[in-house]
Amino acid sequence: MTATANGGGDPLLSVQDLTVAFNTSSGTVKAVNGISFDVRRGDVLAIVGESGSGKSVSSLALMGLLPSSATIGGQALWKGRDLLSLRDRDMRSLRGREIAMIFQDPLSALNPVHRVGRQVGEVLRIHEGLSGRAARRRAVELLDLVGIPQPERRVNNYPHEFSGGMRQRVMIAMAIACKPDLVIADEPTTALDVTVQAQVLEVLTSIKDEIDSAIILITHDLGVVAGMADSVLVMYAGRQVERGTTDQVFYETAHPYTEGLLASLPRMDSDGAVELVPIPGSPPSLQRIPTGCAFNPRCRYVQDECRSDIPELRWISSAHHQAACHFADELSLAGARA
Amino acid sequence: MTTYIVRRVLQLLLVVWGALTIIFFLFFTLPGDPTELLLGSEKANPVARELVAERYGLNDPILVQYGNYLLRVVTGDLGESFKDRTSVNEVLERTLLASLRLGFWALVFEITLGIATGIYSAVRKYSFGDSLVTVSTAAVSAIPVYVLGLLFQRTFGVLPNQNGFPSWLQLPTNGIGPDTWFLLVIPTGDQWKYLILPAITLASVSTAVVARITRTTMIDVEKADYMRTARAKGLSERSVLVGHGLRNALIPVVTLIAIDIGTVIGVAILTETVFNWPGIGSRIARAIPQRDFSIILGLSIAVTLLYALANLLADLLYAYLDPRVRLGAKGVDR
Amino acid sequence: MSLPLLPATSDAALTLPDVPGFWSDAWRQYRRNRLAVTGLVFIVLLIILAIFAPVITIYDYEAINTDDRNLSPLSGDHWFGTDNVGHDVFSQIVYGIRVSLLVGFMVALFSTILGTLLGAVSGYFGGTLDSVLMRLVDMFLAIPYIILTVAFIGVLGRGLNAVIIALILTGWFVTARVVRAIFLQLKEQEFVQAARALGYSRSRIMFRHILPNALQPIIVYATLSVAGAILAEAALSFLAIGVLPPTPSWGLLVAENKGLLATLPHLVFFPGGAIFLTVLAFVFVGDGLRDALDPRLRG
Repeated sequence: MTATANGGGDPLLSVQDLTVAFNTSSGTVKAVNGISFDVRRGDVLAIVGESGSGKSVSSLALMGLLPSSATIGGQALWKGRDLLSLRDRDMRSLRGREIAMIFQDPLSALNPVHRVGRQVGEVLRIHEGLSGRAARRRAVELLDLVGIPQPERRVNNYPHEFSGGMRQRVMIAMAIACKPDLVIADEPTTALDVTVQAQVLEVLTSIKDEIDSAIILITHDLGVVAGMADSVLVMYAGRQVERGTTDQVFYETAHPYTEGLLASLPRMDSDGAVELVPIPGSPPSLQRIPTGCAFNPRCRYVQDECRSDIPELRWISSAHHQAACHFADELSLAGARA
Repeated sequence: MTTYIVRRVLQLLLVVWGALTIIFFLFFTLPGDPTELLLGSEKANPVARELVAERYGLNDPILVQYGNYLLRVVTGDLGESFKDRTSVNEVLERTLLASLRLGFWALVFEITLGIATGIYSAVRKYSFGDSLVTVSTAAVSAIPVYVLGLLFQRTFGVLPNQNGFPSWLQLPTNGIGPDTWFLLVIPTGDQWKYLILPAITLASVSTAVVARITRTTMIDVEKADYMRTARAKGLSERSVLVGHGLRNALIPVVTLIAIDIGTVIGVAILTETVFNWPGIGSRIARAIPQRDFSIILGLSIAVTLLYALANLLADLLYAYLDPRVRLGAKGVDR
Repeated sequence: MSLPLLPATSDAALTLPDVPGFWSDAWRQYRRNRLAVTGLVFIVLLIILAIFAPVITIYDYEAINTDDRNLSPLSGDHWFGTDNVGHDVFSQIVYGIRVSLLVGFMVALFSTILGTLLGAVSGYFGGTLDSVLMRLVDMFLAIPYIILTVAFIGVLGRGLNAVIIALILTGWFVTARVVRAIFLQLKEQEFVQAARALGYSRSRIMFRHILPNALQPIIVYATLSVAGAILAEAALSFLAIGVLPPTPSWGLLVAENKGLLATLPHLVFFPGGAIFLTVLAFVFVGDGLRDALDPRLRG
């Protein structure tokens, strides 16, 4: 299934030119700089980038969860209403009910002093007006749904009494309690052991089909993306650098940064002879973004042009595929050949 | 759980025994001679002195005296005053309730106002109100309690009186008044007028400490990930703060309130003295310059026991508030 | 807490922070805190007043001016008025600075030294000595502070020296615990192992290598214990178990004059205010030092 497959109909969420800036003591820092994307019902969109690329900040901006020091620009139409200009009250009634979120570290994201049953049931109590007992019963069902064994017993446990993977399942149960239309999963597997990661992703995928919601999967790990996402948006230093269907981004890669991310990924299908190539250097500080293309100091194809002009997002040969590189066409051809 | 409590109670008894021993030996290495105090005007009479020394066992070796004292304390007998020969147990019975009543209201005041102020300060951090709270908590912790007590007396007692205010606008500044209570602690009739100033004075220092620590922990908790989770669920800001923030922030506050009871005891001695409140504190204060050691020693042991009980209670409450603490596993070192 | 990451290849990670930079950094940070600077200025002023007390005051604080009794503040030469026997209140307050500062500094200095020594030895050597010492501290901390202090005063008798010694003896527990904890933690670290391998003496390792890491909490706690000692001395004197009468202690003045609250309130509130301002100044300085010396709060 690709993004084109269910391209018909209005998108659930349509983000246009999202910007987020923070006022700090050392001036204004642009954390997100002009991001646009659409998410349709049932879609899985992956937003990929290293830490500091602005991917988490974007999702928090959509949820209205950024501190007041953030200035947010652009538009995010959710079923026709702009999330960014909703009143607090209206935004609150959307959160957890229509749009839910799963965070990176389930240990710190769950409240240590409340039983998990209460934490899962709380969403149902506030949004669906369930009584304490009914909420608890539903919590048991939800824990069962996400594959926690002995849910009747575990519902009375505290977060610290679960393993990392089980805790993340609790987070998922909490997120899907009200059958939201969209689940934003912010690095849902990063804090987990490798063996557990796959299980949690599997739960996430099967749940998605169960409640027919869309997912925005935020990750730095392209390996996670490959198995799950329909389309991919790659971010670097607050800007979008490439987007397209998962196949396009993986096999017709049109941006050197994406290429670098892919090259640093261990691959199951190779015979081990292919060397892992890390991207040299580290992501720039948002206070000192290089002139021209932000990626130029780390790019192996860098030209003079890259150091002076910021590349616009441009269409690549195939539909739905865009990249922000002066030499995107040349790259994608090379990628397709390989 | 039960083994934990048993172990903690044993530990508590050990600590109280240690405290008793320390205080006992400190007092009995004193240069003064207690027989002088006991005899009053007859202190020049060697026969009387010998009789008294015999009666109180003051001629025995110090270790024997210590053993006898310990034995009596274990059986619940705290001895008798060197000064007026009243039983220390009686003195304790007379004064304990007055002190506990005052302490109860001070604690109520400390917890409600201290925590409320701390939350306000944390929610409005760096606002004018927050700065005001920060400065006034520093001020309250620097002002000597007895000076604060005298300031209250002047403002609410002396000045209204001098300016001919109606009597219902004046507060009494001396003593416990009618001493009428309902359900042990609830003042009835005019009792509250006598209670309010000493209770606030006693609470002042601790209220400032509680407010400051609540502010700090609330600000820390505010940064926690689970607060973001709670907001992402769509909870109202109030539910986020109270249901998720406060529950976590209170954990260190409870510990602090218990530890702080040591300070409260010191403050109580001064407060009760300034307001002439007939409690343990003012009784100890009176006994000190008189060198009435059996009173000081007996009441001190009672106070130390109360302090140790409060700490035990706080530990249990802590374990109740924080499910990550497993009783028994961490017991001894905490 | 976020620490700036040094590039892995940089040698900067291997060099130690140079000491003059540390102190000038701390001073820069300290100066930004207005309350702390005000507190420091006030304390310097107090020290000057204490040193030049005989020059500043017109009357002897013990002199009884029978013609000038019960005077309000700002009466002629008696700037703060007089009490009911004719003592000049200004002289009493100014000489009182000497008592308060002497008690505060002596107690803070010696209880800090005692606490640091015992804590360092206990933490570094561990074993039986450590257990005994720490159980003893536990016992002492289980006794309410005031009662313990009173017990020590009982042994030592009244008077200024007795008060100072009693407060030193009850003031070292917390410092000892903090220093011990830091020594316990640091003695296993590599720079200490390295110093041992180089054959340095134990005292050199303890006091030249480990102790500097404990300076921040020690200094802050010492500053706050100046405030605590001043308050404690005043309280003991107020309860008539502190310094003896002719000594001009502020707490004693409050106690002596509290009966005159209705007629001559300044006799209570001038010495009371003096305690308050002095203690507040040390608290502000302590808070300022805490922030200035905390490496995590520096930009």
